[in-house]
Amino acid sequence: MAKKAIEVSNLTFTYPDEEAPVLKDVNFSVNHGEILGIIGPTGAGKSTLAMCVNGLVPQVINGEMEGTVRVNGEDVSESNVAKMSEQVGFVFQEPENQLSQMTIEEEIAFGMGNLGVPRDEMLIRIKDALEQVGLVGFEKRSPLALSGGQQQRLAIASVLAMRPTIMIMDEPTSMLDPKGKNEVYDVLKNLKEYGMTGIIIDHEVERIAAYCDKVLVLSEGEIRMFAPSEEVFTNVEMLHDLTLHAPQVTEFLARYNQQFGQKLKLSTTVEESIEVFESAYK
Amino acid sequence: MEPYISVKNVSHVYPGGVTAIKDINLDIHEGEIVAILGSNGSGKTTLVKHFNGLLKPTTGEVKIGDLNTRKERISKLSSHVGYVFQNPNHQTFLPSVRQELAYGCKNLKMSEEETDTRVQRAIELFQLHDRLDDNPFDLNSSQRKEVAMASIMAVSPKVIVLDEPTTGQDHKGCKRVLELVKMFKEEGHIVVLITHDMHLIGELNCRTVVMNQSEKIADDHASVVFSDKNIMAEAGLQPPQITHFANEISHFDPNRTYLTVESILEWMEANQEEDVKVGTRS
Amino acid sequence: MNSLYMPKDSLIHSLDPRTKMIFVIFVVISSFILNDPALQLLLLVALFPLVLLAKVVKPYLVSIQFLLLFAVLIMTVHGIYNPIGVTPVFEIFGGLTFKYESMVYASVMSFRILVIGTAAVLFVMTTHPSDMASALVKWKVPHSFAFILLSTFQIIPIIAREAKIVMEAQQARCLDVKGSIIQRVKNLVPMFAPLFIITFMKVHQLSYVLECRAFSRKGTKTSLRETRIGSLDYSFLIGMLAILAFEIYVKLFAMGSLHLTTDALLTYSLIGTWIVFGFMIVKFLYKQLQGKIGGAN
Repeated sequence: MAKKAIEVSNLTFTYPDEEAPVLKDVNFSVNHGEILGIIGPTGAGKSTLAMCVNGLVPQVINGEMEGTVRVNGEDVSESNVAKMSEQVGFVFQEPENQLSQMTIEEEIAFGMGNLGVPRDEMLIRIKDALEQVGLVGFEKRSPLALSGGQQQRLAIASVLAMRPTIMIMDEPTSMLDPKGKNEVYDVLKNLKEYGMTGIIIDHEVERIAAYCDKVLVLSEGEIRMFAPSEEVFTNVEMLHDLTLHAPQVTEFLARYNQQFGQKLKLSTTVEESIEVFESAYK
Repeated sequence: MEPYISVKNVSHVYPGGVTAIKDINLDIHEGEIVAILGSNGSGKTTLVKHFNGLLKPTTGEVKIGDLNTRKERISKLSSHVGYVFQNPNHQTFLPSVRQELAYGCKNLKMSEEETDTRVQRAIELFQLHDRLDDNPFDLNSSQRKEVAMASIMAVSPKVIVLDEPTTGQDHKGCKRVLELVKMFKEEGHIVVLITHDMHLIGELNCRTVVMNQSEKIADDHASVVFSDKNIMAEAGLQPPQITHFANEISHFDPNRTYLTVESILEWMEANQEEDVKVGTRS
Repeated sequence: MNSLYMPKDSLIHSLDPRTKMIFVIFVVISSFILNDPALQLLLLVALFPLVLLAKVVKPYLVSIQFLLLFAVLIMTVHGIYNPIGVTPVFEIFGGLTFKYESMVYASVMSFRILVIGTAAVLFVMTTHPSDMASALVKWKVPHSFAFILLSTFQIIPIIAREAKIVMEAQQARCLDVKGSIIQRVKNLVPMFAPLFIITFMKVHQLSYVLECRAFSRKGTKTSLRETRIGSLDYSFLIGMLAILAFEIYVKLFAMGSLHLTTDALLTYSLIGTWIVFGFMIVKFLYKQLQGKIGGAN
């Protein structure tokens, strides 16, 4: 039996000095090659959950943890964050806070250097990573001279160069302008083609619906829904109960059905919704 | 009617020779909500920094009421134009919400009575009664943003500028911002929004100024701007998903631009008879 | 701008950072061995060809003028008031007398500042900070120390930018930044409290990022930048050694018979620094005036 890429079982986590756990008995798994979206209100524990996957929680960010997290079959608690970085890449929200080097090529080389990748291999991987994120030709520039979208792509490239099989992104586009958001999502779209497994946390449900295979809805530390994204986003009532919402087109179709007593199929993408709605009026 | 904010032929050249805005004309009247759109680096922040005198025009003139910004102190202009920065950590630093609220009035050397009256108004507007003794740093990010907003509002400026108020906020937080903006308008304030959030502008359905490469390329009602494909493409903007959807539906009024789910449903409700007929035929 | 580093293609740039670090140490030692104004001046002049070779003349002159300010101050104030002086050399404004011993003392001190400053500026301008860090690592300096050095270069421009935003953000809260001295001192809190918090948060976040980039992994690390000591470095090092030997010889055996430091030399160098200083002031005033006129348009 093929091992799951990520397998989280009975995970409960409590931050020090806090009474209520931030994650309560969380169970889910992600198959190889799947992209999982995590949505939920602020404070639901999304980031904490993501950081459990590479061991940042509880090894660097302390607290009391129960349950197990397995990555490619390996128990994360028996490894450490540095070692996990060869399997799990992590992209954070603020592009600028992820930069530490003077030039773009050095920024990408930094993680590899820590892993002891030989210099010749580094050069190959830098080239690959720059191609993957569309920053070829920027090698010698200062990371600080880039736009937010470019900086975030650089952060992704730095992670890709370490050749992990899993990529976790915690609100990677929330600080970017629309152009930057598109740039980053265009890069993410390709992750699947590289055979990578991904976890994306984002508030923009339209994007999550378009990019993710499965969606996990977290509220107050508990999993409220975990299903293929189509299934999650068509459960509009449940989302509303959790102060969340579905993509606008889905919201529209649901409200239309309700208001006019129709039974149109709820769709989560624009193209399909247009089709559904147009054919109902033919 | 005399405009409250009057920007006449304003250009701004930064030291070093970069022209950030070029020959901008803009009048903002009493009771208006104005959204300023454009990608990062398009000049929108530079433009708005002229409203409270943080920047002085290189050429041209900016007037707030009858004050010429070139001749007034920033502190005085700021009592007329409140500017809420994107990151509340740049603005708030005091150990309690109460102190934050009184800070602006203290800087203006208002009497204790006057300060009390104004702080009380802010407490009422934002319903902060229970949080007065909280440390802003113990609050979550959207609450902290709101405290920053309240502390600017406590000075009772005529104009309130919100820089990216919904960035990084969940659905609930975005809805709260929408409510607040509407409330500010009802309270007689002019609201200027710097934002990338197309949903927010769609919901407000307000006047929209588009900046691109230092120039103002559009200034009209959101529905007009969002339907202008050239302008949107030039500025790298995408209308809300629902607008995209509605544009493709042949059944809808082709002369209208729908910015929200509600606006479509309302229109359908109004044309219900015909709709139902068409609907039953399907 | 990230640091003072000037990317140029020159002989000095291609030296190994370690050679250049040794060079700085060599200059410091030399300036203490050559404890004489004339010889110090000679050393300063001798360093200039290296600046020329490194193709950084203009940025060098810009950064060295701040050190010149010190030199002018020291030479003038010490020359007149330092109590070790007994032999008058010349007099200005009737009553203020420059004395030989004090002038020697002041000149040695100020030339030393300029000499060491030149070497340091030359080093910083021709050495990529990353090379500096990796050279340190080769000298068995811990990785984390080299990283801190490097990230300091990186974070300074970020802090400077954040400081500007905080200042604007506080002004937007009606804080008057152009008040009395007392007011300005009071303003330090609203300026520095947010700046401190923001910097702390940034560094804190960076520490998580570093963990995710395997920074704390044990074992050997590799680097993209190669630093290698080559023949150029060896010839440079041998040159320095030879000069050092010569300096020691001069110091031990020839100092007594040399009388390079004359009244005229001292006077001229003093007046020389005054003139350069005067130029700087004129240039500064001119720029101010230009700004005023430009701003009024």
